[in-house]
Amino acid sequence: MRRVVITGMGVIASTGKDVESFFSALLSGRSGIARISQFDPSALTVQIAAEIPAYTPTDYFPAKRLEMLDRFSQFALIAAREAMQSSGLEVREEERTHFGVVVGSGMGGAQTLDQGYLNLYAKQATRLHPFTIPKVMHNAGASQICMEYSAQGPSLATSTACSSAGHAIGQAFHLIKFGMADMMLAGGADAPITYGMLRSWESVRVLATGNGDPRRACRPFSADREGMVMGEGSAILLLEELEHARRRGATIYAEVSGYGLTADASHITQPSVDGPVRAIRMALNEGGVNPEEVDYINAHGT
Amino acid sequence: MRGRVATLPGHLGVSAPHTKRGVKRSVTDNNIGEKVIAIIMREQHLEPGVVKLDSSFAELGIDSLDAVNILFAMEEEFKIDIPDAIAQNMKSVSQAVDGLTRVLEGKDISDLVAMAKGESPAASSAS
Repeated sequence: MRRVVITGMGVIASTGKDVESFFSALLSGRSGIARISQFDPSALTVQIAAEIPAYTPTDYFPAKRLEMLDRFSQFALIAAREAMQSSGLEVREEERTHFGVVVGSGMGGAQTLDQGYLNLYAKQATRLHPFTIPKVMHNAGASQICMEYSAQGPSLATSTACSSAGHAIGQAFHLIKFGMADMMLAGGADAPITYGMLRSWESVRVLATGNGDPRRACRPFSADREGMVMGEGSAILLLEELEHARRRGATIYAEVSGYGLTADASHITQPSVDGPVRAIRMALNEGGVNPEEVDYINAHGT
Repeated sequence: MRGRVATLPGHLGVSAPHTKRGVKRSVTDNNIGEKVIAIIMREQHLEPGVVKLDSSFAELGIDSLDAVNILFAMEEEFKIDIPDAIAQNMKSVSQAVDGLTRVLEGKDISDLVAMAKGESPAASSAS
């Protein structure tokens, strides 16, 4: 059976624009949450988010290319570039059809859509920019990465709310394991800090207001927890078939050995116990891992 | 190319400002070529001197979506509607200038309509 390992990592987030700074912020417990800067949030109940600070798109992309990239695709590309660079992978011409991309996104090109609708409904424009659809679609991030690296293997976008990136990694793992690809860039990207998005989330009444100290707004599992905080960014991993990675002497960070996914099929926002239990058992079973061997469980803390 | 102009549902009560379009303008300054070149330079983020009257869209790296974008920009700039027949035959700077000039001067475009339908201009004029 083919085995799958992680040989590259990339990230851009509120706490760091690369893996090194991101990880050091995690270790030092530094929060990236602050008052929203992308638009004036004064009218909102929730005025905080985890935005990428001091982000200048032209530092990463030429102006013409940017016209085709929603903010979420920009982040996906930036994280993918770091993952590729850290992996040292150079894809040979004949390998391109075995190199693929899965990028999960909950909201896709939310900013482009928000701006487009503002122009359409409020400013009474009669048409939108011809790049609107290619920018807004959820698979824009994956497609843009494919084009940047001439990756001609499987290309997918998963969109399963907060599980989008996790499912992307799982799908990429299976695509390699079952022989449809040897190398996969996989992860997630979102940039949902828009007025329309924040208003929508506000109505769900699950967001922390962070009144007083935004940095302490997100405290899952705390007795005095307030709710979740919207954020933006991307994290992309390079998954690689083990022998492929060994042949090129790649640094192996971890192995993905099992994956499970289920649906509760009950309430749209309230999880049941049965669904996650079955998903975890499915993953343990595939990986041949006993529950007592598990060191760390990454819980979804909202 | 059809459908590039969105039609708003009536219940929104928003009337599309089509009325300001289609107004015939006389072209006295006749620097359409320069304006078209400026628009293409701006929209494609190209350096001065790259876009010439005899440049094809292909050699400027302008794909079909870019061409729609340039078309929209020209319509905005000149406050006109450019018929699809002209838009579909716009594959070079000179074709863009020619098409635009004909719209602005209210000239006959039946040959372009025929070409857009896949007929040869000769067959069209014979019918």
